[in-house]
Amino acid sequence: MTNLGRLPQMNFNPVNFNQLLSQYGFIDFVLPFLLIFSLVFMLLELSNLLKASPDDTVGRKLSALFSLGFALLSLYNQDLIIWLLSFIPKATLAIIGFSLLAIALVFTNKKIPGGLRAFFAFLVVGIILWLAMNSLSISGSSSAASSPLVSLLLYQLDYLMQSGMLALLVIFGLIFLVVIWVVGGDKKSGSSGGPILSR
Amino acid sequence: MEPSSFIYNLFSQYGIFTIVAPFLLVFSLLYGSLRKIGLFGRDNPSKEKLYAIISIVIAFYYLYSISDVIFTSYFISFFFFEILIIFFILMIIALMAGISEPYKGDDEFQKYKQSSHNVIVGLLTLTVLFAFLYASSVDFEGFGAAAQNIMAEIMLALILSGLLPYLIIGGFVIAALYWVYKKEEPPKKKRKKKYFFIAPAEALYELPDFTKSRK
Repeated sequence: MTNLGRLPQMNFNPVNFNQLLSQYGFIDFVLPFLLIFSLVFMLLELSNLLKASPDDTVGRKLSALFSLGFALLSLYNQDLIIWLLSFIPKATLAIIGFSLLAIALVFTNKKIPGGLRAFFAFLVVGIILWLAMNSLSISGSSSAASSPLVSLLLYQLDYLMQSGMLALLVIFGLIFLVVIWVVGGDKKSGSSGGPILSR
Repeated sequence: MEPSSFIYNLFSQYGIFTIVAPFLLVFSLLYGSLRKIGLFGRDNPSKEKLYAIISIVIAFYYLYSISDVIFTSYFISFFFFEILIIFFILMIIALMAGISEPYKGDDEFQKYKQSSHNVIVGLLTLTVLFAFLYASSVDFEGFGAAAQNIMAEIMLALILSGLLPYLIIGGFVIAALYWVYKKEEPPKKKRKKKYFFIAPAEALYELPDFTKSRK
């Protein structure tokens, strides 16, 4: 009889798997390279930017070379890899969420009406942009958040607040809006406007 | 996490990122563009060789300035990230288009949709500007430094010279004068406010179809 307890224990936990992938450059080189290369090549093929005619084989090879250079050069910025590591899993989660919505709607045998469809479009854009902004803010010391330009803008905002200019601007803006509202008059037609006694 | 694998270090060491990649990028772009526009005529027998020589020479000149290469790296990496964001948005939008029915509006709605489409195209072109701004704000020594210095000088001059308050007050005065003296326009036809919400969304739903129909 075989003693199962003596069998060598395989340690397949996800942390070790990720470490193995990172060690051979899968996470920070191979995967982003494949993603960038394929997306850029697809876009170039769609736009026919480097092709003299749609069947131009030299143009196709040039598109491939351009994509290769594009992928390698953009990988030189290590922040991109951090952005991708942060953004893609969460964006994929969003895709799964909306796919589940599509699956759930199978039971109803009805499609989403126009108004709700518009709401979902803005929701999708909002969620993806929010995830992208979050991915950008977690990047390292060479990110845009620590640049002199951003600190200058913050300095300017600080100046506006400290000098009272911001408060002045808000008050002026409010007064301006009230004046426009009062002087602008009533746009409604018919007998609903004006003093009650004169109707 | 500090992603610097063996492969990345090896590639950096052998100049793949700073010599080979930018050379391929610029050479293929220039050679492909010259072939496409046919600047030296279609019947010239040695045109291909000329295009190749010109592209190689310009690519090597470009490689001479390492700061511009690094700036390009920042520029295109952020641009790719924006492309990826658009890709994810289009993917989910295309998915949602399959389970929803489009809004059928009148002619006015179609006009609103067309205008929204134009606005979306404008926003998409802004991605290049955003990528440039990002590269300018990160690249401290190269090309971006000049752009930063110009903006910083303008901002600081406005603040330190005390011009900023006068500019803001002047803006208010000009706005007030324009409002008082502007000509009265004839009353416009009442707009349907819900079109402002639905038309941009419908234009967004049409984007994946436009991409699919490209040949």
